[in-house]
Amino acid sequence: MTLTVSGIGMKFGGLEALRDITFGVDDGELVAVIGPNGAGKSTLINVICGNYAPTAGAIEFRHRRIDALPPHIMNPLGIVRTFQTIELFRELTVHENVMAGGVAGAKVGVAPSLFRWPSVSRSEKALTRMADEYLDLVGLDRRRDDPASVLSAGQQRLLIIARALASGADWLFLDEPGAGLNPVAKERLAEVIARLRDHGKTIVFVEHDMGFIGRIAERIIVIDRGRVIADDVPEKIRSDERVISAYLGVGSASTRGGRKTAAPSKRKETAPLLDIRDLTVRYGGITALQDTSLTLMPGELVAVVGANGAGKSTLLKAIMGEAPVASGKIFLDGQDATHWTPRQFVAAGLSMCPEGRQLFGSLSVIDNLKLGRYTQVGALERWLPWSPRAGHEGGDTDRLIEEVFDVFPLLRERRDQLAGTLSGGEGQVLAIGRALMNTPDLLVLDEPSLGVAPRMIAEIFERLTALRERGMTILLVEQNARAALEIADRGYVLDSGRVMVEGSAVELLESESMAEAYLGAFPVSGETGAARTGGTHA
Amino acid sequence: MKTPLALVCLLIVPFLGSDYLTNLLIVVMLHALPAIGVSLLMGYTGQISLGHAAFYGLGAYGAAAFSVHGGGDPWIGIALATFLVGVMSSYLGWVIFRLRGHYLAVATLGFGFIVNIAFVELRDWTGGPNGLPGIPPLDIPILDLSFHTDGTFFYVAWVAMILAVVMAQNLVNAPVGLVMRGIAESERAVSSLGNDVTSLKRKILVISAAVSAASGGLYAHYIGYISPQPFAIDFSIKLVVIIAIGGFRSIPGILFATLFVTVITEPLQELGYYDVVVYGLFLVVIIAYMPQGLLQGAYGLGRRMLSGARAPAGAGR
Repeated sequence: MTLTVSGIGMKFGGLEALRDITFGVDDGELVAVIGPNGAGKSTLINVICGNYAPTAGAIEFRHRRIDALPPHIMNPLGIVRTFQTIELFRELTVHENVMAGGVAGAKVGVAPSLFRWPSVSRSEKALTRMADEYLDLVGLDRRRDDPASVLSAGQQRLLIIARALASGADWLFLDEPGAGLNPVAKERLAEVIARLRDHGKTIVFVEHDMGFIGRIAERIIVIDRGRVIADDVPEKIRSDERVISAYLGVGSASTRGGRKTAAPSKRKETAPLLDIRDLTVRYGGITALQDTSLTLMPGELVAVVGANGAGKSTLLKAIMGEAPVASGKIFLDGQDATHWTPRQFVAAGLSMCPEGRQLFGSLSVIDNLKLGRYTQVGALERWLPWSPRAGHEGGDTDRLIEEVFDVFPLLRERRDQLAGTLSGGEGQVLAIGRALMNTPDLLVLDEPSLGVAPRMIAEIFERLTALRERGMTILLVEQNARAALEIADRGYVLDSGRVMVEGSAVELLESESMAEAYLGAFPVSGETGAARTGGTHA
Repeated sequence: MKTPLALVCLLIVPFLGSDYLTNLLIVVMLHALPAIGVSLLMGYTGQISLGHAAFYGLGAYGAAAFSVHGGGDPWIGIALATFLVGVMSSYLGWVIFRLRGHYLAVATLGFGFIVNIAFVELRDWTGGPNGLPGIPPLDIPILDLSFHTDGTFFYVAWVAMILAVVMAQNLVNAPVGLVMRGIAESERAVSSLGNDVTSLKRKILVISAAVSAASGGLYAHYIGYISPQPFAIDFSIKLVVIIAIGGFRSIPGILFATLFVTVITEPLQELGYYDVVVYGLFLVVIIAYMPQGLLQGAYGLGRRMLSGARAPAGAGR
């Protein structure tokens, strides 16, 4: 094995992002690394490429220990990476971006550059030629002199691959090269990756789109909660039970069977609280959400599930007035809210519990809760909280805090602890508590299980069921589909920006199509293997 | 190469007979050096500096002390001061480039204060607040050249400026210039492509500090007397204003901006301490509305106004 990763561990404070990761990659392989959101894929790339030093284990590349070497030392050894966030040099032209990639390898010094020694002109010529070759390879030769910033997302992703190649490294680590690309751009990307392979490059890439991976990868390493749970050919991975449950989540025993079905007859009479009709959202040229419709009746708990990149976050942004709506309507409680600002949504009784919790880390638990109430309190309480009249004007912050403490007793114990020192699960509880302080009619939760220990997920979901029984309307957006659907009344499955299936939660839990939305439909193995390479590297 | 050629035209200025114009352009040319230095570091490489007055001052005091206290040759003094400031800034870079953004700004600001306080307090060397008088003018005895008057010193400043402009343009147009601009946008990407980011930042800082110091040394021998005041924070801020007006990443733009700021400095002095308000306004307006700099911005504005004036005529179809 040219690259051996043995027993890698990575801790960030108390969080263990990687545990005992072991695998090897040989020259010329094309390997995909997959796993649900928060599994540790990006951390793994960061550790291998020298952005983080691992806290345990060793990495060897071409018989040399490389763990803890900085990225600029890795590159001459033959390792280069791209970034999920693209990290383009937007001020430079397309051609200059690729040239910039080769400067370190060309070893043009700063001092010779000042005097423009002949060596500088020579390497400039060589870099120009090389950049043209790589632009040709990724098919961007016609955009050569355009500013890099005007390229489409797909072209930008190809450009950073060309830039990485220009550094001279022949092992490429691509972090989500297909993120945000439409099917046509993905097709182009797949072609380019196949072409690089034929040029003898070794490619390790992180991806979410299982269809895409199934088409090009020869081997898939699956990571979940910081561990390698499977490492095999795509055909085997697809039917691997551990992989399926890593993606779809495992239901929590405590809520199973305990579902109380609310009387549907009662709901039919009332108007929907939230009504989204044919919503389309575009970012620049990228369609993130296409003709999506969703209704939410008062008192319902509805789950929106789907793999990473399906459009869940965009849907929530639209519900908070933070996404560029191209067409369609959003009605909240009968009013047209399509172009409302976040303030208006909150004032109308919507509380958002955002992904990643977004707590005020340097404030105590109780202060975080108070801030959840801030838009509701009067000026007197904001500026003169000690005034005897403040409480009357602002209403009942203290009473609400007590109520939240009753729902989540854990917060009472930790009332004076700084929010930044809470664990993932405790922080999630606080984020929900903070959202409740606004006394919402509609509670929206974005990935409440992300980065939360399984025991805590069960606990949180149980509380959500309790809230629903008290009449709260809840929209739950989750990657952990099984856990979410077990407590939901109805569910929507998003895939590539569209609602793929909708129906009662019970139906969805049993449905085949849900697994497909997550794990994609793999093509038949034989035909792609031949079309892809012509020679196998299994 | 167009810029240096255009600058050749300046050579006739001393023959125009206007002492005011000659003196003004000497100051502009001397200030253009640290401005180019700041542009390389801040405009191209994206590393903020609020302490360049210190490099300029260290060059001036270093060169002055060498000839006043040591009785050495002024040229050697300037070269030595430039060299030492370069070495010092390399070590400074080793420390401060652990920081980024606002933190880097504060660190460079602090460096500027420390150096200025040293100028005031190290009385034996610097003369303290009273300054250091009696700095000899420059001459080249072998060639029988002396630069005692404005008309003659003009050529010294001109040569220094041309050297700085040519070298700066060489640097930013070379492949290394692409990496400098890359650092300003994404250090992670630059480092993954095999570049030692900190080392490169330090090298640019050394160039930037050395060019400032060289200018300071020339300034000391031109003016004959130096005090701590011109090397205080105000000058560092003024350099930032200059590169903003010049459009951050344009050597010709920065030359124009140095001229512009030097010209408006004099009328603004009547405002006393309130002159900073005007500089501040300039900074805000230009960064918000003319990110390409005053020259480009005014050009674009002029074109828009011209086409705007033409539009109603065409609208009558």
